[in-house]
Amino acid sequence: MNPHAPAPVSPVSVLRSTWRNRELIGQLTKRDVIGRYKGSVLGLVWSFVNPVMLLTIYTLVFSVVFKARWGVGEPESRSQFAILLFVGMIVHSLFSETLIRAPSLILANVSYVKKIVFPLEILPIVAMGASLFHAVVNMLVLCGALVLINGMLPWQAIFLPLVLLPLVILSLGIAWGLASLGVFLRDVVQPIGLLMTILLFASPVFYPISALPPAVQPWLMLNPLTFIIEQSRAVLIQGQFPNFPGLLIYSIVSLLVAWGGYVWFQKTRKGFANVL
Amino acid sequence: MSFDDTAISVQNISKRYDLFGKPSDQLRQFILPRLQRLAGIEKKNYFQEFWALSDVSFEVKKGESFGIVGRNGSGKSTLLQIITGTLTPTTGSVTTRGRIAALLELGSGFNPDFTGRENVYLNAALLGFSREQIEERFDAIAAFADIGQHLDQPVKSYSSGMIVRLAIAVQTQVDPDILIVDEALAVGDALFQKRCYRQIDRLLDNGCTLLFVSHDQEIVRSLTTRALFLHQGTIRNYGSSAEVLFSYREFLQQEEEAAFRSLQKNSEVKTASIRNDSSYGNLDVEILSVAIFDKNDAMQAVLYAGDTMRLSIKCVSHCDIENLNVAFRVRSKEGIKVTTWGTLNQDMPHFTVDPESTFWHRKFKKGEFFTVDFVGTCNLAANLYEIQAVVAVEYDQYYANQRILHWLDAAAHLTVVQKSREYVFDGVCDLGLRYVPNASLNEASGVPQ
Repeated sequence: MNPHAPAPVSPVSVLRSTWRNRELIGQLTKRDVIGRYKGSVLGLVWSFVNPVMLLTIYTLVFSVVFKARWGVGEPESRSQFAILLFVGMIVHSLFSETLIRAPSLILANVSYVKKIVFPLEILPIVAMGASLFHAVVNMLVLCGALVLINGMLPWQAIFLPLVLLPLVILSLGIAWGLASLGVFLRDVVQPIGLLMTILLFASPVFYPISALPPAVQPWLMLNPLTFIIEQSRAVLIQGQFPNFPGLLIYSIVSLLVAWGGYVWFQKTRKGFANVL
Repeated sequence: MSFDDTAISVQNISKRYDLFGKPSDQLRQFILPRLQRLAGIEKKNYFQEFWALSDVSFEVKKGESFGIVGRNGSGKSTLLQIITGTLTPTTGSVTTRGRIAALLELGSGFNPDFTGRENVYLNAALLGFSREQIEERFDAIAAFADIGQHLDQPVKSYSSGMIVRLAIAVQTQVDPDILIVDEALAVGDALFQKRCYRQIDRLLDNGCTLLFVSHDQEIVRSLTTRALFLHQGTIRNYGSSAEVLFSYREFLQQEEEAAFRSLQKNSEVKTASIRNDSSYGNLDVEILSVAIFDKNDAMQAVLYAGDTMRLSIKCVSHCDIENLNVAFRVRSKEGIKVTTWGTLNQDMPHFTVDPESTFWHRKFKKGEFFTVDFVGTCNLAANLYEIQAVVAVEYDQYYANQRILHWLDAAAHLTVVQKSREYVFDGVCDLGLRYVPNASLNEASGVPQ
């Protein structure tokens, strides 16, 4: 690894760097996940307890107290609303957790920029990995709940990773972009949290997309989370096959965004040391 | 691997720091000039320039140990950072061959929340080691750092010494091709430093290339063969370590004298009488100048240990006077009085034998100029020395009663350096004791000189 060569921008170099630094990514992600519960007695157990509690509360509040109904017409079990809601929340937090952290990733690791030769491009991957870990635990809790409530899990649930993958790629691309932008424009850190909250309500998390007027529905598809949330529900709960052509188009766009973010990151990283 | 035996090649490196008022100016600078060029408007810069390095070129061969010296702010650290790869040069190029381990601002690559053990794995992974390779070396690293059970504590609980020990342990145990050391070893205790130098020697023996920066010129001289003297971002001297350090010492000397002179209110030191805050006496006899000359009668501020030297004190007498003693003291930069000597010391054994021949008996007329020269060998260890000069009237031949006529602090400065491969010793001065086979003090012939 020659530190003096210009930072590579080709799509292959992303994979090469990720592979070469897999040990590092693994260790940093592990630390990132464990670090969140540092000092607590239960430690990692919290990452399991939290979603269980959350799911229980959702069920209690929405299904028992509010008696909320998801769709109109067909009868649904008591906890159906909470489960549908939970799917949306998991997908949303997978996306937002990474993005909220992205602008401050470099700022929080100044010594990696100035003091040592560090593959900075893996920092968004590490942040992504940590969110992914939590998403996986949450999904497992959800699957457990589904089995418990419905007595079964549709076999189509195995397509879930395939459904989430394009979103992971997209998040990574935006994270690269934001990570670099955050160094030069510290303001980026501020509105991102608010933006993600807005996104939460602008996505079909608390409601099905079919609950909206037909004229608005296509607009909601512009939200990158909409399609993924709907598809996750399709494979996990309705037991349908994912929309493969849709996923393919989504993946192509994601890959382009990811590459764009990566190129921007690599082109601007030389300037990091000058402003930190 | 290439057939070329150059480990580090630095070509025409310049580093400009763009001093931005605020971080967003950097973004503006990144985007706007391009747009302005597109639009055909004159490009505008959003920063102030500062050149930390300008046009620096040098090469370090494989297996060579190379030193960099220079005052604070001369660009040493910038240069090292560029070579390490944490900074990019504005112009010019750097080529390095092999794995670089850098001891710059040690421990800064550590994550304070991780334990020492985790940081070792992390650091080694950064240097390109797989888990198995690290595990193989882990014991050696732990033994070298020698911080005991702290290894499993978070690094933020470490003392600064422990952090440095661990960082050095990792960087030196991973068999780097190029080792870059910046002032780092100074933090460790004496034992650890020794261990570090042993490890560096071992690495050098194995063909590792060393790039070394330190303000301790002793170590630079003994550790490196070639060196570079940076001043205000440019190369001032580049060659063998002894030569470069000599010029560096000389430079420091000049800087110090310049600083000293600027402190003095009356600047006509050289020609007129030396009078300043560190001088006192009634000036019946006045010291005009104090200077050091080498064996070629050239005035010198820097001498090699072992050189023949002459300390020359020039005086003027403002009245008719006798019973004088002209003396000097040598103080090291730490303030230790290394030695004193005066004409009276030399007169003492002669008072009973031939009193008329002594300096003490010599009579001086009003307005008479005279010079007292002390000649001998400069047996001092490498250091910076201050010469104090004194003229006194001695009413007693054995220093019992005296009156200072002129006392001058910092009358001259002397820097002594050593020839690294010819004449080296440590401490304050060389007593001249030499190894003589089968010597006995009873046989006069057996004792050297």
